[in-house]
Amino acid sequence: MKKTKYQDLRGRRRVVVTGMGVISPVGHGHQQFWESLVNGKNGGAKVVSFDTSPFRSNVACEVKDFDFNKYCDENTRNKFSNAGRASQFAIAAANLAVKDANLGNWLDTCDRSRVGVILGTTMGEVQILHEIVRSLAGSGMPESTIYQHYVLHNLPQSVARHFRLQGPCSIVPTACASGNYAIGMGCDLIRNNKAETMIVGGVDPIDSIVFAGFSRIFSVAPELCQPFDKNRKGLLVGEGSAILILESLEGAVNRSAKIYAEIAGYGLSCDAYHMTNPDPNVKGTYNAAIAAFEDANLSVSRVDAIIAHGTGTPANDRTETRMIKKLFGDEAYKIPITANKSMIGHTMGGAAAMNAVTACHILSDGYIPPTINYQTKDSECDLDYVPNEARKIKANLVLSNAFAFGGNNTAMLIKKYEETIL
Amino acid sequence: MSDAINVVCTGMGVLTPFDESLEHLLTALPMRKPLTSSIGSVPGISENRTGIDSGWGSCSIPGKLFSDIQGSKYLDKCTKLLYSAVSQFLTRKDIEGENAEKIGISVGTAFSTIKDYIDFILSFEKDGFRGLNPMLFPNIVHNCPASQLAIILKISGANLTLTNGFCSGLDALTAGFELIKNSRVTSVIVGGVEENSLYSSTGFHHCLRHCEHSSLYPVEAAGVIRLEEESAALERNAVIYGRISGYAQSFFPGMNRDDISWSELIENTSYKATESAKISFDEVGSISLSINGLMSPDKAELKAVGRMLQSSKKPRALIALKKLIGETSGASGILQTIVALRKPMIPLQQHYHDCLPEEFTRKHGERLADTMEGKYALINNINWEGNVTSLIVEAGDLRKSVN
Repeated sequence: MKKTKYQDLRGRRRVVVTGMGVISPVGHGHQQFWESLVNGKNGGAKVVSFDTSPFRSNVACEVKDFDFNKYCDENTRNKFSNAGRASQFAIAAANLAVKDANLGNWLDTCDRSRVGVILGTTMGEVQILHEIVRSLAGSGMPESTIYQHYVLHNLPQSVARHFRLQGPCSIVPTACASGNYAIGMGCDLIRNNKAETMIVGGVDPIDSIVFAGFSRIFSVAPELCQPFDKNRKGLLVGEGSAILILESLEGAVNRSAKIYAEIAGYGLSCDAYHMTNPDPNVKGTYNAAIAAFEDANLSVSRVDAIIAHGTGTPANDRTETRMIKKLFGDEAYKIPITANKSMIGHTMGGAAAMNAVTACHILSDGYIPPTINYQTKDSECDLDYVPNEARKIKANLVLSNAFAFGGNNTAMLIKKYEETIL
Repeated sequence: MSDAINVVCTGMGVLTPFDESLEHLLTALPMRKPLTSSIGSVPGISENRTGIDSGWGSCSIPGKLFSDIQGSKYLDKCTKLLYSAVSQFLTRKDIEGENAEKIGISVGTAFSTIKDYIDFILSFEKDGFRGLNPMLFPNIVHNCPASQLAIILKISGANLTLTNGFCSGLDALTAGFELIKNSRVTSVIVGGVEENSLYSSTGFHHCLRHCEHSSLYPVEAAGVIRLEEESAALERNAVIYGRISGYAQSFFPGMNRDDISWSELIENTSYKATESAKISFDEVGSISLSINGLMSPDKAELKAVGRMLQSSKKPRALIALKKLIGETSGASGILQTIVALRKPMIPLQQHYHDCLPEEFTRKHGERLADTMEGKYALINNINWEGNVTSLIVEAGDLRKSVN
């Protein structure tokens, strides 16, 4: 059968990004988020949502000025007023993305069984579980209705209910790489014609239990997140949500949608090594990247920029640098690498989706955001991390890494949309 | 997704309160062995404060399995349940000759390691930050069991976790199916698991009472199957239990004036699954129902199936596994698939007639006690909050037909 411009070289339906929504520690809406990144805005601040006195650090990247009511109509407000912070983040970001994609009218008339939701998360509605357990351990019984707000599948369901969608609806809790899983799985559903449009992304809120967990394994930086810096001391816990609208290219063109970028391919792997430590031999992370290039049918030499997982922990940044060198050889030194976690913290389930939004803007706006707080070069991390200032760049292909507890590795390739395949 | 790649099942294992093996489960099914046992307690929470007066079915984990696993004292229970089920048909040694990078893991679970999660929070509340055991922090992430299984078995392909309530198991299976069809791996260990916990128990109890549902009986279990590219399975002359033929997924977003009903959505999803498998509904010999005692989803499913059967000339065997072994949540889809592939004798199904439409009962009621029959089985998973997954499997050793 003759291939059309709507199919990739393997005959699969091409998948494009037509809308983005972000609720983040450095601003809401993808445009504000992007401007903050390019300007090197630091989202870290003293935690206000819980008491940090027991901890060594009191800094995190919380979402500020979030008013759920701003992002929904009265009906949604009433329906989700008791929902957890994660659900509210996700609904707000999805609303922004749907609006950005100008999908509203189309959703009213489309076959809603062909539109679905896949979200990633690390902890889900951890604040609600925390509240339930406090009640069970204390003097009172929790409200019976609160239980339904904790279950993880409630997150994508909230979004699907909000838009009355009937397509596949899933939550992929593969921790800090889960956003890439959600984007990849949504992409496959469209490629394989099991869906026409997918709302995908990730979400996580901050809670004291998350802060305590990361602190207890000595992963939290005292003040600044300094990815790839010699004196890096760890991550800053972040929160938020990023949502992307994925559509078949054919559908997007038919409804004259603005196309931000194309999903070229993705790869998954597992270290099978340790629950929290990355494999120093970088076999797993390397395999995920290779799988992404195979999926995209592209050679590694095509990459123009990398959005690193770049958490700021000594082990992650060292092994990620090693993996990039293994993948690109000497060319690794020529590819600009940004670590947006230096600004937004580690937003866990939201992280990979925020990377994807960053990638779309790099491709369309011609800048790569900086890795801020970079002061001292590390001999083991000696690549170009775009220190402290954004840089002009002409990019056609961006690699976005996301790794997770359990050694769940992902690599996402996002490319500039061109009518004919590059 | 390649039509040229067929996906078959080449291994299976289960751990349920019935006993420690699949064969015991299949034997025990017709005997309706009672499952009630005491619920797992959570330190710091008094049982008599939860309002739970009935126990769960609890599994007995063979401890000897874990004696040579490093750090096994920190392993969460879901991992132990899963590994106990896997080890019935697969060990690390068995896959040493294979490319571990091309083997994936996909796990479905509704609540994952909820007991460790709660223990961690309780420890934090009671002893503060410094009282937390750092070794237990990784246990509270939901992808812990799938990741631990990869570490134990040294499986380094794609590693997935899905938590879609009662659909988790089938959704993990369909995700594994997609991994193979999309050539990301050649084989996937697909698991469904649920551990008993006071949280889930109180959650079900209070949610369901709130919703005026009452008869769900939660049970702890793990089920694991190995999916493999058919060509690879044939090449290594593996036992083939059947083929995964197709599937469909949907979500019921609730009642709106212009929305279809839940039963219509379930019916559509079932038909879409047959389309995906490239068969007609008339070729489906048996239907493994999702019904578990929850009023709304049960009614919706039976109404959907009733309509489908009325529009078809052929009678079918209906199986409601959850009415026999309880609601195993994340494990249920895998257990239903295993039973559909093995086609054991299924005893008379109880409690159907109250839910079935009268005309359906008149026409098909006498056929409810049956063996699973026919080449294809339709398996339904319906979540209490709207997810619907339908899977089509083709049972039987395909080596004979291929050869």
